[in-house]
Amino acid sequence: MSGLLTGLFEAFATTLREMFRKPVTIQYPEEKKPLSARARWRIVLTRDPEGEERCVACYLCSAVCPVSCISMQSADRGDGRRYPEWFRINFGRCILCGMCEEACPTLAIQLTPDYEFCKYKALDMVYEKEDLLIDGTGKDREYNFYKHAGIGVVNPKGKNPDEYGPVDIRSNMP
Amino acid sequence: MNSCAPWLIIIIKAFLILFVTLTLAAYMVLAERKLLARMQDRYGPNRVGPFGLLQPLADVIKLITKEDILPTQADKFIYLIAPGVVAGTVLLTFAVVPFGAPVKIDGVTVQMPVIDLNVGALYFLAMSSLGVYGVALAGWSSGSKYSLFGGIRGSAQMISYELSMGLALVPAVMLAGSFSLNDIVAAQSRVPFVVYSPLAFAIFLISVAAESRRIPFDLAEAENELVAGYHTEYSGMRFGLFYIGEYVNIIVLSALAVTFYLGGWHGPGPLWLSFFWFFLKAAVIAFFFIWMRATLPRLRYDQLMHLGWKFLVPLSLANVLLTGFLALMFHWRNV
Amino acid sequence: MPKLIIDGLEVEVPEGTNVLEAAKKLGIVIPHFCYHSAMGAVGACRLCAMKFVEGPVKGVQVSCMIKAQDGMVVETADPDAMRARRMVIEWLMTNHPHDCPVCDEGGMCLLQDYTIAGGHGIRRYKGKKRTYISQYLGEFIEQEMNRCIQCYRCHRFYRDYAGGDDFGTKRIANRTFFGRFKDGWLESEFAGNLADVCPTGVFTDKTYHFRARAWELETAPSVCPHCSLGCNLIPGAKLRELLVIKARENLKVNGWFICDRGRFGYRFASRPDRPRKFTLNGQEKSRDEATKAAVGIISDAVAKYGPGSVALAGSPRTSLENNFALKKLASLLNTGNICFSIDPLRDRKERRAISLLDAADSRSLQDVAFSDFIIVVGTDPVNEAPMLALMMRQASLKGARTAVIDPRPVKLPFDFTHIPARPEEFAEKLTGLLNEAAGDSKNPLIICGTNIPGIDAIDACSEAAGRLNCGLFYTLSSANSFGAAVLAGEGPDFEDILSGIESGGIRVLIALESDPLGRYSGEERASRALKKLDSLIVMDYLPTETVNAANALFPTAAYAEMDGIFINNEGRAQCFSRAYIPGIPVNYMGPKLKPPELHPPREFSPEVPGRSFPAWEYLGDIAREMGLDCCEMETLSAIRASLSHDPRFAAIAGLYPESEGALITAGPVDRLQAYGPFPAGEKPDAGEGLKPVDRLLLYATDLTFGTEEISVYSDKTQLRAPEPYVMINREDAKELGLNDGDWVKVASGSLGISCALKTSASCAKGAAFAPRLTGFDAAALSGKTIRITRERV
Repeated sequence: MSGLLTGLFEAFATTLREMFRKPVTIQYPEEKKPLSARARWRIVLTRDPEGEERCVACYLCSAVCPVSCISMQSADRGDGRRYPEWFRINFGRCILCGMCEEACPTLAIQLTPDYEFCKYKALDMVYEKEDLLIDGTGKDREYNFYKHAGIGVVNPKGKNPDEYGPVDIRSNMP
Repeated sequence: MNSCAPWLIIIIKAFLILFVTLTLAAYMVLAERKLLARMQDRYGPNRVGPFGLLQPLADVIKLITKEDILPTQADKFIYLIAPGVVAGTVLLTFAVVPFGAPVKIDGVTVQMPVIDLNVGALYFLAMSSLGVYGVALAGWSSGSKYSLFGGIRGSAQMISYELSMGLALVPAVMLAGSFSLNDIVAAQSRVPFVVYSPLAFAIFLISVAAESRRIPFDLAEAENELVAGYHTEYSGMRFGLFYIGEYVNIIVLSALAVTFYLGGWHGPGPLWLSFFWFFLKAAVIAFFFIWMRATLPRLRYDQLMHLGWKFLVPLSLANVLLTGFLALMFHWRNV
Repeated sequence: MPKLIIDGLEVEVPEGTNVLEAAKKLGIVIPHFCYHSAMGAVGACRLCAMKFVEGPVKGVQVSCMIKAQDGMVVETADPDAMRARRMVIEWLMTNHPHDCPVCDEGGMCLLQDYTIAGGHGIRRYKGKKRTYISQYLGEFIEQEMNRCIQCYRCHRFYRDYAGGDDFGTKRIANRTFFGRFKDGWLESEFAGNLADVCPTGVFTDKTYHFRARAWELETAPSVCPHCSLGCNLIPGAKLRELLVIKARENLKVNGWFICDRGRFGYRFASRPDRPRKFTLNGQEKSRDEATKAAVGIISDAVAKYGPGSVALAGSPRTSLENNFALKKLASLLNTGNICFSIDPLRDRKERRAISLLDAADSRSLQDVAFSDFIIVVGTDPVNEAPMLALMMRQASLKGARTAVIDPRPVKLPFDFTHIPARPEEFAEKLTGLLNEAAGDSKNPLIICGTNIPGIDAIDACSEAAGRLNCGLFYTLSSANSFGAAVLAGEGPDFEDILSGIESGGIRVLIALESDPLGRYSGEERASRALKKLDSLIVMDYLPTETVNAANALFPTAAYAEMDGIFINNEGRAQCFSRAYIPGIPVNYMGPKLKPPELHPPREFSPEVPGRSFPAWEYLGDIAREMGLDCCEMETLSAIRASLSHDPRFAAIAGLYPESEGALITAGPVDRLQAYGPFPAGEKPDAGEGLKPVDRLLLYATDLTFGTEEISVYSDKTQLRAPEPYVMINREDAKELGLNDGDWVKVASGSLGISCALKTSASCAKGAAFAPRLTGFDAAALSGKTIRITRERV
């Protein structure tokens, strides 16, 4: 019984004491916490150092996305370069897990530290390619997928540093 | 009482009380949110108006403009009136509370309760019993499992604690020798009854907390088990009525605790300060309720019943005996 | 039957089975690239290594090259074998490009799967990669030779299995190249299978180039609608657009492969001009309004002119259920004017042919490959039923002799004897050939067409088959010709309906997925007649001429967009399932992806825009709206249940998708009325006083590409459709003073067409052939005597 009473008393005393402490709340729009170095928020599509779209519309991001918020249509740009005809991310669904960035074989899709992109209308959270594509290389300044892919497009076949020149199919000479 | 018709005075008082109580209830919500926040090291609402003072207004606008959803499974008529029963009975209780010293206006002495019933204490008990209907009917008519559970729990709980609450009033009635709240207040002009019977006061406070279905006795709502208990299905202003009912209830019950045990509006200083004393005392009790909410976790159902039936009821019975015995022994007033 | 132990499990397999197949039989999956059940083992990829612990062979060996023998004990998961497999994958990857993200095979690539399965994640080899310049192989197949792992499957399929000779292996060792001698279209009609057999992304489907990933596709087991063989397919669609067709294995029908018409003919389904709206005299309506309008039209006609004023035309290219619902509607309306083909001549021949087939002499497409003597009468397999040619080649590889009695210069991918004969000589030649050569064959087979041969030839084939205990195999016109013919029974044909319209007795025509305006042989007559109708109600998914002329139009679902049954030429009923919900493809919606709106419209609706439904639903709606007892056509299962009450269709009761199908027999020969050889058009007249070359008899023929009703709406297969021509015997041409390539006018009476002349030495004398190409009304002249004259250009 005395345990109960002291327990009650302690509890009431604690809440009363806490009432006079300074709240720990951070008043968000006025005060902001510094972001961690690896914070990942709004998704962008980057360009390669030559200024071409990095995205090759391989669908890996949309496949790995746990909430299925990425959709696109791949197409041939005419010169053998695969690109997304349209690319859509529904940020209303996105959980910012970063798996798309991890899956991306061309470093095209990257998460940025911009987290303040709320909208009043749900449809405004659906970003199209023109909203996503930026004029920069993002985190990696050097990488160009087509220089390593070995299928031509940027350099002719056999002209990349890690390739022999094309085989001459009309000769059996070694 | 001559030129001025008594019914006119009653109506004026009724409207005054209605207005003040409802406004107070709205600010009670704000006060509770603020205090709870502070006790949890937060700020609480501070965005609408200075210090969030317009928050109640915003809440009311929101509640009024929201859709009033009527579940297809609901018993329509009962579903629609149940919130009214809850809010109505609570508001009616206030009719008998003397919230200040009588005032002389134009030679007429106006008593502060809207109506001074000679069975005021019984009237309060009756009204709080009626309040059970609101909860039970809301729970039953919603046609939802959660609501039904909430309603059943609510009615069982309220009926159980009615007992100890009624018994906790007996010492006050015994000491005042009257059921009239005016008489009870008058009997405490020098010494409040809490001095004579602190145990009754404690039992009354606990029972009252259970009657108002607040933490730690909010089994009828129990968010993490029953969604929102008996008012799960309600929305818009009908939900608002439950909300108002709850907070008006806190005010009314604080006022009654003050009236029965804390000497009512009596206090030092001139007579017009009586309103202030009454308000202050009631505010302290209300603060206690909020403090309790911030401090205590919800009881389990068996613990609730155990506390009510095995502890408070015998204790209050014993207390009635004890108070009667002491009153006889020491010739406390009027007995 | 050798017995061996694989991974501790004993298995008994037929003599000659390799250990890989034996393990497969036990359910043990061994990775392999080069081995294929249809093409056998060559041991090129070295991946199927297993450890042979006991028995005649010891050590780590490639299992596809080792025949199962008694006493063998094999471990598939032995560390040595696993290490060998891992090493093989790493070798194969030394030259493989790093381009999976831009490779169409990605996601369904065996090399990708096994690389991941083998755990080869980091490249250890620091040397350079070998590269090739890829070739242009036409619009069907895309080549990216850098990805090649030298499994030789393409060579083995193209040259050995399909008998193509314009593709093969070049150079040696690490520089082996698979391709043509120079850039250009692959000539084989089965080249599309390279995309399926290639275990990696060297050969991919060009029509599917960069359109989707395998995991995104909505697929379902389906059946090809492009000829009467009923090859099994898997259509794949994405965002309501049909994007790709893959072959599905059915060892009773097509085996593992399909022809290019079946593979690339799918593009009709997503044509931008495909009918998507319910219309009434050109005005867009809702489905309910269109139904009410159709009901109004029918009720008016019935009330004014009696039930006989309504005629219904079903179709051999739509599902059995649709045709059955149409027949049901006709019987509810109490009208006898219903036919299931708009080619009366072919309709009658097909009805005759299927009535002659019975379980004893009917042969499946796979049985063809096991025949040892094949006589082909009046059909050109590559052009009329392409996979038949592939199966005949398999028989030929096993030593079967083949003779083709046909007036055309038939091409087949193997050696055979061609006997140029005109249709009236078929019966005689067949008898002669059988007497001469069939004596010692155990498994003879007669294959007979229904386009060029007359009823007499069809009868003669059946008679000969019965007499000599041979197999019998008719090729029909469309995927469900068999089912349509069974439903038609002894009913009228389109000729009767057309005369009814011309005489004014028929006022309303309901055309179910049939195109009398575009496909009737004699378009002018059809269009004159159809103008006399009060109303034309059309249900179709192709933008046909009939659809354009419709008063009330109901857009229907195509084969990949609904559940249904096709009955193939053998009488095999096969189920196909819905792969996707038909509607306007997302990529076609809104302002077609032009800047600044580089995306589909930003609208959301719970309804599928431009949704179309199977025709039986519309027919059921009409029946219900008219207050008729439509409970037998309310749901697909009700239709099937009702169908299976007919003893001939009883077999479909237990039918399920991905089964081998159920055999239907039409009934004994005498149940169906026999028709005369030429019910329509002129009889080949004696042509008094004319030289034989001045009265050539013209036959409208079918081609692999460009004549089949559905695939002509596919832009890609149309690329292989030839320019219009007429073909005659070289000596006949010399007699007429014409040369190959001359621009000529082909005329009969008032009809005439202009086209180029082709001549061939192996063409029968006195006959002329013109393909039924779109916009080239060869069909109108079919069965008529013609004169060919040079035309000045």
